[in-house]
Amino acid sequence: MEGVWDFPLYQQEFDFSRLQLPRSKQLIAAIESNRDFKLSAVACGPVESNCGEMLWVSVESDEVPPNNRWGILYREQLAIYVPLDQNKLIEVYPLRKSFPLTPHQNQHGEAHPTSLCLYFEPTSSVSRTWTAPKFLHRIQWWLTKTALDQLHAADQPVEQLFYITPYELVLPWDYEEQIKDKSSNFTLAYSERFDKKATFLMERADKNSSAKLAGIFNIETSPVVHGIIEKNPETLGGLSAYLSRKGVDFWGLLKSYVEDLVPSRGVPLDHDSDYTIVIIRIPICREEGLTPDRFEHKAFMVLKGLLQLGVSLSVLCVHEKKFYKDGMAAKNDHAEIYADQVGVMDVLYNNNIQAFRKYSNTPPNDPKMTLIGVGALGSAMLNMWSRNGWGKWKVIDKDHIKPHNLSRHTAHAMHVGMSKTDAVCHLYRCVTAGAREIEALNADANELLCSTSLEFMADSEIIIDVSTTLEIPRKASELEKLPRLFSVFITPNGNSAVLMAEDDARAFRLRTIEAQYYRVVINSEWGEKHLEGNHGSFWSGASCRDISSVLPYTDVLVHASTLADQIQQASLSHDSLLRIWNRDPLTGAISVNSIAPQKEFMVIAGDTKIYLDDGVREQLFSLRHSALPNETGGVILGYYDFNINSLVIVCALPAPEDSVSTPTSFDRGVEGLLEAVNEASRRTASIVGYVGEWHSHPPEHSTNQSKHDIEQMIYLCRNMADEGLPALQIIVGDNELSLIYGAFNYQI
Amino acid sequence: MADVHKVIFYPVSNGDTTQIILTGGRRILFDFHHCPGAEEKDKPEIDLKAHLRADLKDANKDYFDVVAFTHADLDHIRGSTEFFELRHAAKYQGSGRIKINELWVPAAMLLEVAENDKQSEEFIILRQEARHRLLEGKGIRVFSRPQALVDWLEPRLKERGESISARDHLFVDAGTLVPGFDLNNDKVEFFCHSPFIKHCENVDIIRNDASLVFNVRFRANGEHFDYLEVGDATWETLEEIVDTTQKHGNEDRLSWNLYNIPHHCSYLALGDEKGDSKTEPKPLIRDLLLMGKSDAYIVSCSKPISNNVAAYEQIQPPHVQAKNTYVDYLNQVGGRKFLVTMEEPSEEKPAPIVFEITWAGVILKKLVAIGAPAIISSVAPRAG
Repeated sequence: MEGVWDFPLYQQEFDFSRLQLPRSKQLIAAIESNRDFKLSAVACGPVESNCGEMLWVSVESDEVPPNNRWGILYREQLAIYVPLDQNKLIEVYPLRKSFPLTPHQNQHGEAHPTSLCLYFEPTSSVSRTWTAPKFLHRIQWWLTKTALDQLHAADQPVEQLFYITPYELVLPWDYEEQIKDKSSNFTLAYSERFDKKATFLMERADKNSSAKLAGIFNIETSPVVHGIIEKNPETLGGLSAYLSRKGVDFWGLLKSYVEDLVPSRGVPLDHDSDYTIVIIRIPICREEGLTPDRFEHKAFMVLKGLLQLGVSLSVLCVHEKKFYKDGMAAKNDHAEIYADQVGVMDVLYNNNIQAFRKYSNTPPNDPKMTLIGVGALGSAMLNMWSRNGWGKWKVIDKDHIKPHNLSRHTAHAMHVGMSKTDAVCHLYRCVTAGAREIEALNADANELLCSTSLEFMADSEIIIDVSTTLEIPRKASELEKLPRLFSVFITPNGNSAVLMAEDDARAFRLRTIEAQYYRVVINSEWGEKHLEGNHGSFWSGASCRDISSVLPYTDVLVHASTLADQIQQASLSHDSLLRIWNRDPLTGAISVNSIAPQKEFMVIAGDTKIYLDDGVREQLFSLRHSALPNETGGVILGYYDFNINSLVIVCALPAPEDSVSTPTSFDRGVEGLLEAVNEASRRTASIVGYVGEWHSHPPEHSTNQSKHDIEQMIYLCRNMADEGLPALQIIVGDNELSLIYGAFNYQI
Repeated sequence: MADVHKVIFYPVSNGDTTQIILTGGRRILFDFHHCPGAEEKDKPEIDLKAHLRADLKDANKDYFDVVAFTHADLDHIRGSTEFFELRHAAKYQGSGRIKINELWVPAAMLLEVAENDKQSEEFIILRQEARHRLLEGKGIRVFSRPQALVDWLEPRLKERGESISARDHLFVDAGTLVPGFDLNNDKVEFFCHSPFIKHCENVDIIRNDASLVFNVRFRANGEHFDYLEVGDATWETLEEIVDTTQKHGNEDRLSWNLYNIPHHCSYLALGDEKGDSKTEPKPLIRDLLLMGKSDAYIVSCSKPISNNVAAYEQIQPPHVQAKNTYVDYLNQVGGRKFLVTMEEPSEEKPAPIVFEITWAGVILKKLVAIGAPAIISSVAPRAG
């Protein structure tokens, strides 16, 4: 008969009512009403022990295919162990000694059967909803899914059994690359936790470091096609036998490795490591004979220093508190260390960039990006992108970290005084550990744009402006050599966020999207409070320069999350974009306003470029049309920027109530006009103001100036001159507009 | 791509209905037994018409590729003439009837006779349909070619001005493969074990003896699996089949991974003595039972089989003595389970038994919801 595991402490009995534990009783009842399970024997734990109870059952799993690759049978015999402690999981042991070693089994030492790893969740989650009938189904589920090769947890190496080990080893993300350099040294950082479990973090060391030996011994086995699941060895002798099956002479390699560590002048005793970690690298090939396409790693810990092992192996000796090569020693048997215990370690890997992206379901593109401004918002978004592996980043900022910045910047106290670029690069590397690099330029981005020193950002696919200035997006709009630009900011009261994105071909520039943004703010209900809290200086709320500004970090992060995500999405589209998110500070509800940017027109008037877009034209034609057969008109709102010699028209206001319209004339009234203009200015943080007048001409009339129009223009010029500004008059006809722009010249 | 065939057994009381869905999507239905009153929710039998109709709708089809009637007993044809579209008369057409691309019938079915007052019985309607299709020369296979059928057919062919051999290709003899399916393209072949001509030679043809018996061989990614599909054959017919098959060196056609046992687990398919606790199988029947492969399943298309005193004295099948014998032999060959259509997953609410055949073997799919999902997916008993 085939060998089966027995449990010497448990005497099989056939009176099932002998079991006392509540879960045992529930299991017996569940087995009675389940046609696939049969109970054959039970056992109470040994008297006066803290052991639980045992049930012997057979289970039939109809969905287990007869020819499954593991050799799981339709009918399996199992032992079910019910611990005394209700908080401990019930264990299920396959009784056949020939039961296959598959993924998702727990190993309990070489001399014991493995148990099925039935749950992915922690014990407390399982026990919350545990019932005996569901537990029986779970056993069948395990057998069936394993037989079908459908039982996969994320990143479970195919070679490994689960082994409850207190130690984990974290390898660098590029461990396989680093190991190619034979002169690589590693250090091990060690963190022990309250429950005596510990993590060893392996890092590459400086080549010239004279630090204590890290006690790492790397071994590579011959390549395999599929990992074979084997039980873990528990002693050095067992480890050697395990490796010998994989074609590795463990003792021979260890001896020569240890010998090489000791120069002729010897090594002081206290330079030896406290323990040795043996890392086994198993190359995995897709097919026999092909180059390995990946490695699996196993690690074992020996509680003896590397050089001490050398002494045990008789290749080293100790003399006057130093290790020396032992040229004289007979290479005798070293059986005494066969029995030294080795402990399995869980091997984990620092994230490489693919892992970062996989865990975050990062969008498929990975563009080269430049971030202008790494203040509160910029640093928060960069932090998010460092964690999802999106974008190859360069950052520009001229500021440095001041103490007050810490309340809403990702920087830590240690960064005070550092440039913001250095601070965020340090934090970025703390996350990626070199799996992705970042470049920084500590400079004034506006000066770079003005002097057209664009080399640093020249190879970027997208530039994100988070400078919280007006200069950079407007100046950048002028420069043809730049790639596509996005601009984002948070409003001063912290309740709204704005994203403006140029299209791929840059047919829609930030400067016109900015004007269209103001138009929406002026015309929308939500625009009333959108920019409130500004102190007459635009969107400085998100800028940390203003020491008096108040903006909770929570607000920064709410919007940083939205914007970091939306920037990714916008980068996947070729189109321009204008989106405004308004948040209700009381409930946290966020609403979005998505506006399709309109095409821009430019008229050059002397030194000045006048911009207006299709939206303004449409508005003017529409106002004229609804007033017909009478003429109509009103004022034009917009703003000047002499840094870029531009006048940007934002919108027209309709005729005030007290205006007088006839089919051949229009006298613009004043009722409510001042309030309307002031409101537009208030809503836009004083950016938008009065820039001129518009009126319509009757059907089939030209848009040339009439005598009255010329008189109006002279009047406008005179008055605008008091502010040192030129005058603007727009005449709207059937299908065309005329722009008359100029300064009053007293000499004429 | 992994080949996946399905064989489905429907809970239709002591009656037969099974469906094969091939990996390529073609569907073959064996027999049709819609139990009277099965539309009512509290009946354990499946509402076969509604079930098959919904099943076809899901597959976006209004036809079966093949419908095979193993013989014309009521428990194999009941309700079929209301469900299927019949080509021989307009009154059996349209209004959502399901089409039969190819009809498979034993020759005996074309030779059925009935008194004048029985002319509207379903077996006569199906006889008319089979005769119509045979004369038209389309959409039919007739298994075996007895002289009586030849005598009926030849004058009619002459009347139509056709050669007397014009329908030869529509007949299939025992011991041959059914044309139209092959292992390379369809991943299946049907080897016809029965009926033999001699079954149809007597004046009074015994339907059960003349019923269809097939070895259905599935191929799934290079591996082969055998399904023994038997109509209501008696042990005598089965012994003849085993004997003939052995003599022709076709023993492999007797092996089975899945066995649809005859006649609702009647002892008469094993031997002539019911026995006290078990039915002693006749020698060649024993040979057949030992042809089961490891991990094989047996299915009895029948009412639940009890294991009490009354059950041992029951006259009508299913017979528990027969079941005991089948289970014994199933265990001997290392098989899995003996299943009863009206017992799975429970006698209160049986559901179709679905086998899935892949390269890795034949498995029983556990499709049935348990616990809360089961309650949600069915009508709850009325609350007062």
